[in-house]
Amino acid sequence: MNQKTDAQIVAEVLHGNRGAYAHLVDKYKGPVFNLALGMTGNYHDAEDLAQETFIRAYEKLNLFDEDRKFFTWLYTIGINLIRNHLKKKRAETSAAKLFAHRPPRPSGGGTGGEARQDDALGLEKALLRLKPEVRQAIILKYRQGLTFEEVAEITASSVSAVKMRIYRGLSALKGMMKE
Amino acid sequence: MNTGKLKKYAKIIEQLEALPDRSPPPGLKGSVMTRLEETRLPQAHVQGGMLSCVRNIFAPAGKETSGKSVCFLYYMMTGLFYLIIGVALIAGMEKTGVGRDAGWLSLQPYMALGIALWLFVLGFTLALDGRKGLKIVKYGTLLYISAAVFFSLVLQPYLLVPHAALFIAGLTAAGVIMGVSLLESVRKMELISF
Repeated sequence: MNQKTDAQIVAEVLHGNRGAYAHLVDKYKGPVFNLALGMTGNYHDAEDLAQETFIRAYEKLNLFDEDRKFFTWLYTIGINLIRNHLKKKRAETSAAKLFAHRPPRPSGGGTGGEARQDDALGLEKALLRLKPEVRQAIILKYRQGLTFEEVAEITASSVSAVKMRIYRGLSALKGMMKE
Repeated sequence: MNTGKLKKYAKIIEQLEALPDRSPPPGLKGSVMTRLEETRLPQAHVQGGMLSCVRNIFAPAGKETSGKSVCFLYYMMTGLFYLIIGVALIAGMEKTGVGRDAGWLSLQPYMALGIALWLFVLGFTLALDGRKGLKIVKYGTLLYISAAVFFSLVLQPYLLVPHAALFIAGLTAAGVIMGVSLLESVRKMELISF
């Protein structure tokens, strides 16, 4: 099957083929949703934010610069929405509520699996205790697998600032995981 | 920072990378596509340049084609305002001789020209380096507001006219309002474009 590039799909949408946008939603719904989930720790908020990210991107699709990668542009929109959301909900966010609405995880099978699940849950909770700008850098780099340069582009920061945030974040996570 | 420093966090990095991805809600794509039915289709071509800026200025709310170009034009217009004031004051002082030897007052036209130049620089920073220039432009605009307020306040002792305080208050308010409006346009641009 002939795989279209993101830029080709964007061009199709801009020329009136609204349905072509479904390909982009399909391709990026997982990463965008997981980015929002990692940042908010709330399944329903993540769903709303992911949906809003795609809608906002669609509305501004004519502003997409073809020289940029589509996913970095999309993540930038998502990160801005998530930041605004976190500002509004800062008071409500507490460790007790985190991951409260998540669907159950698949069974790990045995004690070792359960221990790993506990570690993973502990790490996710520790991530949510980081400052948002540190958390986003860690998530983008290690959960989304982006390069330092891509993280810098998405967060409108310098590469050295991103590296510093990641270093601080990892150091804090290490400390929290020892607690 | 040397990436070698990250080696001591190898275990935590490994754990982060191993965290399982959650499946997005099954109805996510459907919800997005349904909402798109009610959403305006974006326009295919965005023309740059001054014509586009002017069209954006008069476009109905929410129909602007580019936040960046609108923002750029706001900075240019505000800069032009100060440029005209500066040139008019210089010309006026040359012709009448008023304020030529009035110390701080004689510097006012040049301050206005300086502010104009500063706003032009900020406008071009946005136009040329949109996203990365945002922080510079925001702080630059705050600097402009501070300068506008400062220059208005230090002007007061030199104004020996009735209701000088009222004039100073108006001048200060105008500087602040223009500055805050510029900041607001930058904030909107951030939301629209990125």
